[in-house]
Amino acid sequence: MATLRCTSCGYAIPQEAFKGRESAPCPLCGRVSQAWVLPALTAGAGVNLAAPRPPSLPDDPPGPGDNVCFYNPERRATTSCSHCGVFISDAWAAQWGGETVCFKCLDNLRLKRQDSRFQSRRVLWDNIALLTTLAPFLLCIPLLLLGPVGVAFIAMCVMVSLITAPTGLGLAIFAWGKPRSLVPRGRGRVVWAGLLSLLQCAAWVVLFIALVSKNFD
Amino acid sequence: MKQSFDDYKHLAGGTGGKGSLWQGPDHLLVVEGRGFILPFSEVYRRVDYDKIQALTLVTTKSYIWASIGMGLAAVFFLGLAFLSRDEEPFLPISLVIPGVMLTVLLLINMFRGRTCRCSLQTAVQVLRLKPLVRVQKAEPVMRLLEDLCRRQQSNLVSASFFPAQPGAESAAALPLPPPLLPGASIPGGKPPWQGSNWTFFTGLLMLLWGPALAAELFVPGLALTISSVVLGTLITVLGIIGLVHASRYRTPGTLLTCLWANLVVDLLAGLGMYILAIAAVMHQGMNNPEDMFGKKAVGNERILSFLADYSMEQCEPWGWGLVMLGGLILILGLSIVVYGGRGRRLAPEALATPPPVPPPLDPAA
Repeated sequence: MATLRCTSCGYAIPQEAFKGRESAPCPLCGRVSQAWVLPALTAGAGVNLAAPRPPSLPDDPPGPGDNVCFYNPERRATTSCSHCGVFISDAWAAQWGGETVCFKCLDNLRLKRQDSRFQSRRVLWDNIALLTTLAPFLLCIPLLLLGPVGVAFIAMCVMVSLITAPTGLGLAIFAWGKPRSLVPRGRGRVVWAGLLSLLQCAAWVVLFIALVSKNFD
Repeated sequence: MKQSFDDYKHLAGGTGGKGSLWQGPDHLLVVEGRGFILPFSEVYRRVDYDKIQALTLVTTKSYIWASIGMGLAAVFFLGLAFLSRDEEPFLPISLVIPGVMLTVLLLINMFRGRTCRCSLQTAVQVLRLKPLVRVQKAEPVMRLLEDLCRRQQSNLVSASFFPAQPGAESAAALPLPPPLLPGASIPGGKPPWQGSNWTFFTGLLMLLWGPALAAELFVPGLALTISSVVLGTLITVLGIIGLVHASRYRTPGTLLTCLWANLVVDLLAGLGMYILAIAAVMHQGMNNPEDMFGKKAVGNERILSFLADYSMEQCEPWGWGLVMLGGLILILGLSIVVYGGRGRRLAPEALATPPPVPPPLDPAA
């Protein structure tokens, strides 16, 4: 039976509940779900009910003198992995671009990000640099809610920029050549992070010189 | 933010932590941001239009609760700023800033409209579409996605057009499963909330603490102050235990909100008491400098007695803030008792109902 998952509680609402209407309450949490049911739901259900077991590769035992699969010695090796070079059977081979790889190498290429052509995740160093630079000042905003009591905490936060400003500058330099988001954008954030952290560093240097010269006078 | 790149067209979201949605030629690109304020990393998912089975949208109450919370907080700060208008300029200004900030946030929240939660369903997953959080933006995007999916799935034939097969017929004739009771468990999910003594006693003590805190400045005497401090400490500890306990179950949203609010209010009340104690000592010191500064240190018992002797006239407008805090604690306590007590536990016979058995993978079996 085709079901739709409730977005709120995850309960499987029968598709019949949406027959002839766009929204229906979830039987478990009572929240009204507005649903757009697509043909893939019913078509998929029909296929699942009618189709036999999923197809599987026929047994292919190795003959005398044949190479055997590295992962399953009961199968004849038909190819070799383009990355690690082991002999593999059809059941243990996968296509990766124009190459044939074994499942272990496929796992390495996909999940351990060894292949730059397949990227499911990126670290955004430009954002990290910008946030490190702005963090002490962003923390001040919720502290404003404390009213007059928050003034001391705000001063403490601003003092933290003594550490975050040079760190932000270092991160901005590090982030300059690093890949940014998959959604293309310029180096604006890195530039802003560098400029703001430079300004903060300059302010601290000026303050330090002023304090030292005042003490010596 | 770019509105298109390569074959992709922007659908929703921005560069913030919630990520964005991009319309591809034959698939939807979901960009999920992970981080705080700005995303530190992004995860990319492609969902083919022809694999999407359904799109769902559920309106949530976050819009109302956020509006109420921000509205009350704005009134609180602006009210205090109004009451302290004759004080040193620093005090009303520092109160007006958060008041104005909250008012602006409230207006933005109201302008953006009702909140919602959207997801798409394929045969193997239910993917939450985090960039779609407001109904007025989500609905057009969902309709556009529906249109794209329908175009890609135009070659698929609905199950109702399939020729009747023995297995399919028997499956179609199956009655709908009965709806589960509110406390029933969902396979793979957290167990349902059964009520807890921790939360119940937290709520009960809050019902005592709220009036005690509100009456602090009206009733002189050390007993009330000490009992208020003890109750506050006890409630904070019990509240944290209750919150940990509640997080392990499928707890009602109202109860979870009340428990979190309780924790925030406890900390605020503690801060309020601490400020009052400092103010009391300073006030006493200014009035009787010989009494205060003649000694090397002021003992805790003396600070408490100063605090106990503090009256409403001495600490306006902060005193009214403490009274409001007491009232808020009372309301929260009532909600926690109602929602968190053992009374919410389901009847044993209802719990004994076995969960529905999932259909077999192979209908022929």
